[in-house]
Amino acid sequence: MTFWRDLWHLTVRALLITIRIPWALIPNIAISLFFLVVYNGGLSGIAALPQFAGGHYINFILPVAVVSGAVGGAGGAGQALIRDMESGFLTKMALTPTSRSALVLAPMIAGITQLLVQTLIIVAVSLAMGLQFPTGIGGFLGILALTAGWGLAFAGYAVAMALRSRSGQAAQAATFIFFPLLFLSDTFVPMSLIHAHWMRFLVRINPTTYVFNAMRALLEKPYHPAPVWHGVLAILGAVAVTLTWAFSSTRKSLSLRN
Amino acid sequence: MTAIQVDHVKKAYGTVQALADVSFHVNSGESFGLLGPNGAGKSTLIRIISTLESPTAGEVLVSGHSAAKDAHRVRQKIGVALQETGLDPLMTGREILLLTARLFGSTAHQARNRADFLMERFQLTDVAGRHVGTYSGGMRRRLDLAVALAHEPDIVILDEPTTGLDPTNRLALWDLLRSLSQDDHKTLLMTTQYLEEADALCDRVLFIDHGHIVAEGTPRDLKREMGYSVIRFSAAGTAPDWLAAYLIGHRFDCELDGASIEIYSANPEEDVFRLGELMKAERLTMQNLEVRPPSLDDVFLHLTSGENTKGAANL
Repeated sequence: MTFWRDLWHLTVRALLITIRIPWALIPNIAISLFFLVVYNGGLSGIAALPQFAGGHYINFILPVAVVSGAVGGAGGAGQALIRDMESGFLTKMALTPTSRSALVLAPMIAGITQLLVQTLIIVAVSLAMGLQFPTGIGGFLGILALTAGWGLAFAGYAVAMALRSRSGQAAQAATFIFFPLLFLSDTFVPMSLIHAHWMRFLVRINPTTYVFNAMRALLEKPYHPAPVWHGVLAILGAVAVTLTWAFSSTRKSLSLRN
Repeated sequence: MTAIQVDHVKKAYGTVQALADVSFHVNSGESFGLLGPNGAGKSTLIRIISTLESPTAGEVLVSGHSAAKDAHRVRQKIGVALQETGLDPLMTGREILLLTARLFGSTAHQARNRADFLMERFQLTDVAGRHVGTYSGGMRRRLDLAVALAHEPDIVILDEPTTGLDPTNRLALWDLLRSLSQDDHKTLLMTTQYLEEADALCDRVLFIDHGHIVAEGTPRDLKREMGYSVIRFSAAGTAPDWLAAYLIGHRFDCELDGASIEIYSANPEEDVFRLGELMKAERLTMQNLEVRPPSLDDVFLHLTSGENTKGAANL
């Protein structure tokens, strides 16, 4: 009970701080909108290929914009933790009886809240650009859930890196994993249009591929549930790995006893 | 009744021994000072007692609870202000106090009342709604101490509470600490490099150097046990370092402090007379002569002589 109470208070505080540094939010949303507008503007013609099965390119590219925003937003959780380490605030909180898990979960939840707001903005812009939701409100909520899940996985990674490195620059550098995760996938065209074998191999082992395809399945009619479940499994696997890493880093890196 | 019991605590970081078999206790309601130069092991000890680190060996009991095994209970009993203030510059003072009180289990109503009370007591009411990033050093120190008291702990632990403060703010903080001890009957455990601070605030002190305890007692007893007075003077018309060497040659226990000479003397009346004779023989005039009882600075220097310079102990 006290865990949830503490998590609530710490999350409210983390959100308050997020709002008080608005300049930290703007580059992230700008990059996502850049992907959406530029790739849709430059590549939308290829949606005429039969591999797109008559769909709009914006439906194909939207998950890329959403996931890039999710990764950036969740990475903010690591930065928030670094701020608290540098100011000594994390140690001050560690001197209270609050759970150590709540201390690291709160910035993650704030990061996910941030990325959900970003996703709403991206979807709103996409709707203005012609996006259609053939699966209705269920599909929209499904995309939000997948975004939050993938954001949580990345937030776990960002927090673990922050706790291990205890350095803003190192934690920032670690977010460059974003590039292979985002681009070594069927980011711009379906798998059937990727001919290089090495690339096809990397696309298959990249969990982001399954997240993209789960979101795309929620933007298509007829609805195919299999890619969605694959995406959910990829997210659950990544969340299990990164959160375990984050919590073990909490114990090891901060010397904070429960 | 014992508030803090430290039993044979050792702490090593790799091959570096930060604490070597340290034992002492702090009584309830007592003001206890941990003194020593930089790197003596004071902050390590504070972090172990505050549950932030584990000892390599030994045990710490706070109000009877093990800091290692029962950290949760120990945190309820102690309020801690570390050397570096742990305040988020983007939060207001009031927000930090409210959050801390809630994390210690206060209701919203209790937390508001406590925050208002502490802001008033620490003269922060006017800036309660301002971001901490805009506070002066003195305000930050006061807020940090107020945050340590958010849950009304019995024991207050302070790591170099006045470091970096100007003399006015330092004296104001001394008054607050005195009031915590005398009016609120809190147990105070504090570290400091300012020995006059310990002299002014602490009932008992413990000297620590290179991870070892070198002395423990009341400031008064330690000064008395030293058994020496200090003769201090300067001389016109000669280089102080030459004079110091000259006096050492005449078997005076002598040190140079800036342009002044300080002599530890077990028999000050006789030594002042001898000094007068020597100075007369050298055609020198003694100036600003004073004979005073030893300060804690002198005790510390005496205990660690050969390992510390006068400058290091006077930090």
